[in-house]
Amino acid sequence: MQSQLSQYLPVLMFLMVTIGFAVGTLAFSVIAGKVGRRTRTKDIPYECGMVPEGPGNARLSVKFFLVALLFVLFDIEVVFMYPWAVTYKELLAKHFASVVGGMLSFMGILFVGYLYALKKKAFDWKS
Amino acid sequence: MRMLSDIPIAFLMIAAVTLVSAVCAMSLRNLVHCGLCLVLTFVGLAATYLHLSAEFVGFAQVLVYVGAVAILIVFTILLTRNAEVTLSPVSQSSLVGLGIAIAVCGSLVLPLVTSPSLRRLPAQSLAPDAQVQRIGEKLMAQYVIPLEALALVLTAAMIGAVVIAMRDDPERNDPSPSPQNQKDTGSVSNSPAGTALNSSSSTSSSQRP
Repeated sequence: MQSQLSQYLPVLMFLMVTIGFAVGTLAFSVIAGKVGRRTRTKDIPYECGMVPEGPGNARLSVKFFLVALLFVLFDIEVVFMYPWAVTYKELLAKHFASVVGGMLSFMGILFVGYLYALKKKAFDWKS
Repeated sequence: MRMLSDIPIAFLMIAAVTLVSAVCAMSLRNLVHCGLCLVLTFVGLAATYLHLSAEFVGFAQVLVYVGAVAILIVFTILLTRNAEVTLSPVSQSSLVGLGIAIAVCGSLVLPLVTSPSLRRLPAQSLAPDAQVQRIGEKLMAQYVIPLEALALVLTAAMIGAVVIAMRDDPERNDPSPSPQNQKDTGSVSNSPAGTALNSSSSTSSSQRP
């Protein structure tokens, strides 16, 4: 069990390097930069040009939410296809009907939902 | 026994990260920080699954929760940012919340602990590299009908998402801005109503990026 977890040690090292890089870059810019020299003008988003007005957080299209929802659904579909894809070759000889037919009907049912979303122009960003 | 001395340290580290980030997700002021802490909690749970040699569940957790649900949460925060309200505590006493939390936790844990299937489980973990294959075999041989039912549920969810998020279908084809939309968008958005996609949520107007 210990060796099971220790095989992800490279992943942990990779994570630590990326976090260290981000923190190090920020820390270096604070140390090497001139921290004290801040004015109100320097802190506004555009130092030169128009003075910004209004709230900074613009309202976003609800399309973003729909895209995220569809992404979650397709993600879950892929999760269920993954174990099928791993065992596909071994099981093909034994249970041909359920391996091919089961996944075909699984994808067929999902294809109905996909067609509905396509028909409703859910994937069409511009409409 | 090398295992006894080694496993608790890894488990304790994972558990500490998971619990601390879960508490942060509940208690931090900034919603974005809360969302990021929740993502860290999901990562901790995934690490716990990997620690238990549940490889497939761990990676599914990363794929679905860390990948997709996190994006959903971030988009939700982005969409509802303007509707910031001053939060008032629902209950005056935190003891009430504690009692409800214990009740919910107990009602979840009690059936699990008393379940007879818990005693049937093998004490040692299964061969780790065979797990995904085993899940695939079961999914294709024994659980084909549940798989199809799941496809139906997912299709229903997709149709529901499209119906809810694209409710104003007739309005969208209308090129002239309707008075309702003009009132809603106000000065925030100058896009025509044809592009504004209203939803049942608080984001009644939209601005195209």
